[in-house]
Amino acid sequence: MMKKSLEEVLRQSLQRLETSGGDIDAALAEHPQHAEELRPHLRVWASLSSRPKAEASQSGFAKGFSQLSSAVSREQEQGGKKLMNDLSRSGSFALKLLGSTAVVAGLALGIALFSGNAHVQLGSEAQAVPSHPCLDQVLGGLDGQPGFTLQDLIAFKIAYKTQNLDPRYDRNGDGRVGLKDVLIYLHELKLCFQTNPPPP
Amino acid sequence: MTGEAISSVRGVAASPPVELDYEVDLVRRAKARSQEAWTEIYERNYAKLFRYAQARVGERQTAEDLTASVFLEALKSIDSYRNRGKPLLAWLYTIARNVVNYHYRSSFRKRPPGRAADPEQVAGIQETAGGDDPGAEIDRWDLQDAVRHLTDDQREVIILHYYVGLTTPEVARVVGKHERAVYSLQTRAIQALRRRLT
Repeated sequence: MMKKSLEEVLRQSLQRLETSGGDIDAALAEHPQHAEELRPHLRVWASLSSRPKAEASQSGFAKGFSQLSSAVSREQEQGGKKLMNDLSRSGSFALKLLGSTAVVAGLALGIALFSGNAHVQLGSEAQAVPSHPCLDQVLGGLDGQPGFTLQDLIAFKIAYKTQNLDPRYDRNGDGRVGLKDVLIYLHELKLCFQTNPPPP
Repeated sequence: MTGEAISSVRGVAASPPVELDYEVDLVRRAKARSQEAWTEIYERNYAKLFRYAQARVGERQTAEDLTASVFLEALKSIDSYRNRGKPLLAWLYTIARNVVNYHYRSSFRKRPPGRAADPEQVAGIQETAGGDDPGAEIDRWDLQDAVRHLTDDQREVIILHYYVGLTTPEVARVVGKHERAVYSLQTRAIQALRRRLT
């Protein structure tokens, strides 16, 4: 019972010393009936409290900071490379998929616009592909065969995906088959249709 | 659920919400490997973690190396950090405790035959006597040896409060206990020290 009481008194004294400040004598004065038992305990507290706090050396602080900064930089670099790899992997795949489709869609849309046929379809419905001398003239040789068919669009799509730098596909000679080549084709189609307009 | 609410549910001391909000943002930037964020984390916590390591291992050089390791471990683990209503220091302290314990285990494995079995007995908490000594009797106390014999919980609370310099509410948040429980641990630790030192 006495021991428990001392523990409670000591706990209250520690709490008071921390929150309200003061010294041992002030804490003892609050518990005169326990002062004799309390005093040696509070001396332990005073000894602990008066310890000087250890301070790291400047060199130790700087060394640790340098190690951390280097590690962060390495992770930034690795993270950046990983991101680029991920983007490159998924991005190039997406670009190939979207790009080739976009190229063919662009060509088909251009054909539809300039030939007045808004229902150009790609697929097995070859009969839906419009025919016009301009189409034969500008796009007819893409598959190596005369006359414009769906195969010409497919040939260009393959050339785009494989980056076939044959002058038939790399029209501007910039070393890659891309949207700029499509625009050249569309521009040539436009010019041709201006001089040889499709029937209304 | 806010950090404060989580802590209330668990019945432990909660960090001030504003501070927690700030740390949430700090951790978000740290996860993005921001140099500025890591610099801030380092500068805010280095001294505390160093004092903890110093109190545990005694040697300044070793303590500095271990403190540096704490931050490197933190960088490795930051992606798995989850805010649970505790201050970031609580997480860093857990890492520090593990780093020091690992250091002891490694030292124990490497020690030559015939050396002391308890590495902490070799390094241990060193008394850095100085300042205003309360009395000649207290000067003779072997505090280093006495603290070593405390229970783990008591020793951690004593180190965090008296060696690191955290207030009792801060200690409570770091170790995830009620303030009253921390005061009780301090009380029992001081009683144990008193018994050992007389």
